[in-house]
Amino acid sequence: MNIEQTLEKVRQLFTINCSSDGIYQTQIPRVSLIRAASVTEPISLVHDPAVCIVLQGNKELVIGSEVLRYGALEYLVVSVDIPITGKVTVASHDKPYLCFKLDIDTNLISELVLSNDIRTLTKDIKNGVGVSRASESLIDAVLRMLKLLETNNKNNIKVLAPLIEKEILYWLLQGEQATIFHQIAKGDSRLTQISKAVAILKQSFMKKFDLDDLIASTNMSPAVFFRYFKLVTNMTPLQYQKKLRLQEARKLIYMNNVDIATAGYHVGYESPSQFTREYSRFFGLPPSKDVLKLREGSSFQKALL
Amino acid sequence: MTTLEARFNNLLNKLSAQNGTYKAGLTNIRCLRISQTGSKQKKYWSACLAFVSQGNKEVYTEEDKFDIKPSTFTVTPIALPVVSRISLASEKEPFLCLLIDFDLNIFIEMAAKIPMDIDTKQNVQALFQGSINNRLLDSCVRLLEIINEGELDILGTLVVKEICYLVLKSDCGSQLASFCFSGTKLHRIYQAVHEINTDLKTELTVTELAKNSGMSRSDFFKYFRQATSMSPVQYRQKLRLLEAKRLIQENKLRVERAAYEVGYKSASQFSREFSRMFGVPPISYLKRDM
Repeated sequence: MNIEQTLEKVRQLFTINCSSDGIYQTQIPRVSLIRAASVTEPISLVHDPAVCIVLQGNKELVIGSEVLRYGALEYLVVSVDIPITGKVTVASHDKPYLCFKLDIDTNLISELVLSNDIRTLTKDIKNGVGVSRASESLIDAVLRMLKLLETNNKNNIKVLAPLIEKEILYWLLQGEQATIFHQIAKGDSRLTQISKAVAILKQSFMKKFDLDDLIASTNMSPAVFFRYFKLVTNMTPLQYQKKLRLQEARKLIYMNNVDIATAGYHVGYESPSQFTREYSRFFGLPPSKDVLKLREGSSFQKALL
Repeated sequence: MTTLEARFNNLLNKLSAQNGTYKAGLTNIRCLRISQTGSKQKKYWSACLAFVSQGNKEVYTEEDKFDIKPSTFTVTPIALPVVSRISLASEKEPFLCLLIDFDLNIFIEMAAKIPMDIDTKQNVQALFQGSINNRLLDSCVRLLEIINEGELDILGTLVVKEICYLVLKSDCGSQLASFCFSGTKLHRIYQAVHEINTDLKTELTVTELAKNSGMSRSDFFKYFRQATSMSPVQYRQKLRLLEAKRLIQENKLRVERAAYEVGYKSASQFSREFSRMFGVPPISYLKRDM
């Protein structure tokens, strides 16, 4: 089989396993399938560490000030929790956007990197997000993973899925984004330090936080901290916190029907007008209108919230 | 041949380019190639999984005859002294075989994860066969491709595990499972055989072996014979003589030295038993190749 034939099979299996739009959490741990039959509005969310292999359609991501565009046979790697805004830019009923998502299990990657013979890279720290072209071997492994879902045999999944997951990670470690994976694997790298800071921010984004404490917890000098935080997330810590707050507020208003002032207060804004102003700037519309629009929006968008 | 069978055959043909055994980078994998038929010989059949793409090898245990040929795969959880011969092979179409060393730990780990039936009806031997299906063949092909393309061992190890799983799920899975669960009789026999194999020199008595495997002497005898078609003492003697023959033939060891290496204290007793097994005295193997 050549790569086009493999891809065609993958798309077929995809359609069987995931017939409507949205994120479909499969029986295989860490594996989900994403499908969108039409282009979407920009969707903001916190992307968890994962690999997203696109099999059809195109997508555009905004991280901080950087824009990433990728499509079929390309994959996105996200190494730390990061607030992003993304939209599907090419998708149709006949050719929906299809994406195979594998959440990153840090332990598995470390195990692979440490198992002696995978070449080690010593390049400097990179951005926490990257896009590359998928190799034929990678797509082949994805195909075999989807075949497991097709047969839907619990025992096969239990034994074979971990093997294929390792194989997928192996091919990723051999690919162009190897550096990011090596950073994930190396427990003491600066990426990990930044991840820790990100985790702290995520836990306590509703409170005021002391930047000095945050920096101190990473054992970095303020200058180094700021440089790497920006490098990994494309944002400053304050911008990062603001994005988390606004996204959480949006969720509260949309899903929990919390009123706007309360939502703003809940995520740490003391002034409702400041909250509305920043919300409008971030999502393009004031909260009331934005949520109305969301209610009319696609199921895909809702699934991602 | 189907396309898949042809790919398997071509890869085996390529990887085993010279007569004999090609050892892949993965230490537990061998590609065997023999270009001519031969007469019956006493041989050591190692604990392995065997997949043949072309040709035929007849293997005789004390009780049965097996054809090691395409369309079936052969599982040997316990190394066995056998009589064998290549019955179908030529320069043009040699006997080609993929051998994966048998690692019970892989199977034990898997059998613990999924529901498995143990075969209790028939007397399971240490050599049995299953039928090859496309999934199994596909995994074998992928393993050879990984070796051929010089990919790293990690990847090969994953595919070996996959093959092991498919073997465990195959039509001979319940026979294999009989060896996988600790406490079962055959698992204990497996351990006893392992003990004998790792230390040919030490002369443990059957009583000691039975005791080490937590079985009564009579049970130990019974199940040892079921698995190997011979008694523990015969088994050890055959292994010793086969190993001594290898040492003389391949390592050019002197006869006395070889006898000592495999645990014989008397060279004359060694020569006598050797001659009885192989029909010729040990010294003839030293001369034969010179």
